[in-house]
Amino acid sequence: MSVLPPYCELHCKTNYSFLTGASHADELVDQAIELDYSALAVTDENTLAGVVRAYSAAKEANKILVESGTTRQLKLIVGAEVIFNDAPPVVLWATDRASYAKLTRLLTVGRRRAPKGECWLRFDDLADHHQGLLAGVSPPIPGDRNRTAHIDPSHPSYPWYSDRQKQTTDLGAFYELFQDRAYLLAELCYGVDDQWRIEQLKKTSRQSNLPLVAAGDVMYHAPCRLPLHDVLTATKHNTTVAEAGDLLLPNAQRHLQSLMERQQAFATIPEAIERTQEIANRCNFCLSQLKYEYPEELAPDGQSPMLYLR
Amino acid sequence: DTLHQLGIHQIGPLRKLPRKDLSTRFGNEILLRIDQMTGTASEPIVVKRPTAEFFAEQLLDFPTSHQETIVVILKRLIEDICQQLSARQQGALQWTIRLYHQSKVPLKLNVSLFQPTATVDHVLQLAKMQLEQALQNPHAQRKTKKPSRFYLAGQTLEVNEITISVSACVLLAHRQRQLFDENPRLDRQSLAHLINRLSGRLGRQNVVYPSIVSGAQPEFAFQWQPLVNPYSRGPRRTTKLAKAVQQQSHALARPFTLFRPAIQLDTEPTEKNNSPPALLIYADQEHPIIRQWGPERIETGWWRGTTVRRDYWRVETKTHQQFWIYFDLRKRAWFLHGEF
Repeated sequence: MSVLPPYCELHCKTNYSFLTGASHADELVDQAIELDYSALAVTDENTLAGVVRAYSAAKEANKILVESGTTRQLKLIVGAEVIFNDAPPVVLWATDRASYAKLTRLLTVGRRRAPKGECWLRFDDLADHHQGLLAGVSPPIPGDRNRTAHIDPSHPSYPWYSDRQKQTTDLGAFYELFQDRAYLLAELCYGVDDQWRIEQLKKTSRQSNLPLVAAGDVMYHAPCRLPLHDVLTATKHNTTVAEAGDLLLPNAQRHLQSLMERQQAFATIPEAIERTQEIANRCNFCLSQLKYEYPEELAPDGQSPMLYLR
Repeated sequence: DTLHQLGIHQIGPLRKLPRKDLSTRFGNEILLRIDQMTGTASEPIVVKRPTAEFFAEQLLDFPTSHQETIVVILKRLIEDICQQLSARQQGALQWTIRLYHQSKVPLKLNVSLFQPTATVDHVLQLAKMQLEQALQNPHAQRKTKKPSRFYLAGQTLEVNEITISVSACVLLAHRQRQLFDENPRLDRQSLAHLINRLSGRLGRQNVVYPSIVSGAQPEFAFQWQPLVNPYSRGPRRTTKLAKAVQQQSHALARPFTLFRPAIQLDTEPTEKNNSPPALLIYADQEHPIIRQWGPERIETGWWRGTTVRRDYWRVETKTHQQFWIYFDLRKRAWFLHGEF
């Protein structure tokens, strides 16, 4: 058997993506190790909440790996899927401590602006918060349903999502802002015509200057979670499973797939698989780098906080 | 033409000329063609799909020269083709009938029409006329008193095979059936009366209209609903949610004809299920597959009982028919589900 190229999943939601993710972080981490993934990015919707659980699960699992005598370790990449009101959804990955701070700040800006449970961000917000972050843009593909679009026309994202023309022309802006830190997510899940989809992705990639990177848009760790995911989707849209129709995904392919399946799906664009490794290597932030940091600026100049408090 | 007179025979020197002068001298067409060549302007290409031809044949166990027998067989064959045609809402302009007999060259009848048709009687009548004309042989008629036998150049014609093929098929404009008034918009009132009467006589459940149901599983893509529904008040209104759900993506990736139930194919399951079979055997006919699209996986419907797990392929056969087939991952078998 030939050696399969290493793959890491860069777009994966845990159950901290409310009513979207259908697996716990530890289930995803265990499955990724089982499938021999080199790294796993946890990218919940507009939040970093799932990262903590995933971090402790990965720490635990890696400890067991060491004890069993293998040199293999699962690298955890910290990120979030940011859903903009006026731009396509983007997965952002933290490369270091500073970029992690930028990401948390960006999410805070969006959360503060919106009612509870929502996050309202505009593309312009990235200007102050993109430094050091890597970006994976989900391109709009003709014929696809925009799953991040709101049905409610009073929602601030409605004008952008109802304008097909705008959606396809905005991608160049990501290259201008991120330069070589931006990628285009190629997500293939046994859709209507994946070969045609690859052609569309290639075309978009050429036009926008963003290189293609393979991803899976993972929402659960194994296909057996399809019923749970369907129930969550129906709940999210306040309907029943039988009535949800096209709101449900047509198949159970949004799980962590085997290296073989991934290689088959991306057989015509192997460079997209290689780039997952490139991104994993560029990301060197671990939650262990975080420690309590007390604000310094509260004390007047020249005095240590301790002295000032006395 | 003028360019040649100016000594420009190749693209290179042509492109060196100033664009502005080119258009004033030769019109805008030339600039457009240059741009299309270099890729600056897009040139939409209209895809031409070869139309499938329809064919019917009948081998005769006992060669016959009996005219009535031949007409009966002709009628059956024409009916067969008309059925194929009407399944696709098409009509044919060119009907070619070949009568094979003892000599090598078959007797060929061409029925060409002014308007495409798929009406049996109409074609049969025309074919009969042609048949009689073709066989009108003054010598033969004088010699015999039985006009119901075929003679050609004084020889009895023993027909042993009849084939009909049609070409130049076009989509028939859908005709309003005579059941309703010619112009239904003008006559809503009487249509409503009719629906009411029919519903009253046949039962509410038997007077229905098709409505689209969203969802991944193809056989549940539509359902019949009674036209008279006591539970709905006034005209049906689609809610915002229903509207959003109805925006069926990739609508053209679905066939117009769906077989119910799906027809199991005798094709052997392939070793790897990531490729469709090379040969489709359907209705005792072999269809070699020349093109394919897929697979598209559908896994859904667990709330109706068992989950359906299928890999759908769109395949094109040698005769340019496009079929929608799927491999059932549960039953490990191929099924024919539709025709494009």
